[in-house]
Amino acid sequence: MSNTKLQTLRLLRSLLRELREVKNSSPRNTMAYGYLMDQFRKNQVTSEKYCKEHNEMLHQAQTYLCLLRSTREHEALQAVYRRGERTVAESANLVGLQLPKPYEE
Amino acid sequence: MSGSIFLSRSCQSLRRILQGSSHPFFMNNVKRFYRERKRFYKNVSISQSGKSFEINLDRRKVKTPAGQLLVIPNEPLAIAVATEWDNQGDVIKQHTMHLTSLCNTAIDNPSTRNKQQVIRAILHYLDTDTVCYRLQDPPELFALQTNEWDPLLDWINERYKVEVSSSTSITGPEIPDATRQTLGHHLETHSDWALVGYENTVSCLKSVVLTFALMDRRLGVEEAVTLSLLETEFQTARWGSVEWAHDTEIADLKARVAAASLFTQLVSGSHEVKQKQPIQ
Repeated sequence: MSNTKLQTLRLLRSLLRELREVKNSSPRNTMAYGYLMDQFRKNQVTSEKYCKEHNEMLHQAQTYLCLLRSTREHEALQAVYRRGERTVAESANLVGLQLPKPYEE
Repeated sequence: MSGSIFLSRSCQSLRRILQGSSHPFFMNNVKRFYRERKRFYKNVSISQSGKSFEINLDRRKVKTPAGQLLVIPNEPLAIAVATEWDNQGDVIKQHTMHLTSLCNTAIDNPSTRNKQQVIRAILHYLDTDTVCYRLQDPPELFALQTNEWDPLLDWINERYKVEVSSSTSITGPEIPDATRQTLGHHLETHSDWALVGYENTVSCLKSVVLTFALMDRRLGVEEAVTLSLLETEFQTARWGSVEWAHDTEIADLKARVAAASLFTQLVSGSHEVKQKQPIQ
């Protein structure tokens, strides 16, 4: 039981972290924060009695977390590859190497 | 070896193209603005009018692309949509606002189809369902597909009393009419809004079976996306993944599927889908 509780807490923390990351500030005053805290609190006690209800909420929370996280990851990837793939020189730089200078007459 | 991966990959992409082509052409009459707009508002709030909710940006109300008021049937969804608007930085990136676009689609109904047509479009994916097609060529992939996908076929057959089977031929398995009817009846019990979520999920996952499993909370979003891209996962595990193609596709797919499934769950009310009995 404590295990599932731990997982629930972890889920809530990840959600709040995503909200903070996307806003770049504390999510404490946002509507989403209030709603999430409210839902997690409400379902805290009843989790064992109404297993389905609790699972439903957890599933929803996981789905929301997935939405926030994937949107952020997708945006980050888009930002990196907006101008096409890395050049050979850039790739070499990544691992601390440099291309040899092209031969000139 | 390389010949076989080329063949199997092209088979999958061919199937995706075939499935994609059945998808209706949305946004037919609606002008689309691709130019990014600057964030012109500071605060986002929601206001209740009657039973439904609206999103306010400072004092303006959010409208749909067709110019109708964005009216959202319940509070959790309204909060999620408002959060999307609130999460924008200096520039409004509409392509990241999946829930807003789903609401827009539900309100504007840009494809002007009725419920029956939407249900038919969803069930059309059953004929070419990803989890029903199996490749025999690399035996490991065949084993993987059997292990991962068969439990889902067993699940949907038992849960809805239908007959969905797998096939290794290019024509695919025979889906009996009774199965189509049963699943159609189940879809009919949903609202138009919920069906928007269903249709988006099914067009992302290319699978009716996976969509039903996701909506019934048998699967999580990540699992469903992985199962939908099982062959890609198998091939990237063997040949390496390309970040700008594979990882980008997976992240995008996950976001879209998560948005659509959350959308359906939120507009379906809290105790709806799970209490339904299969229709005999």
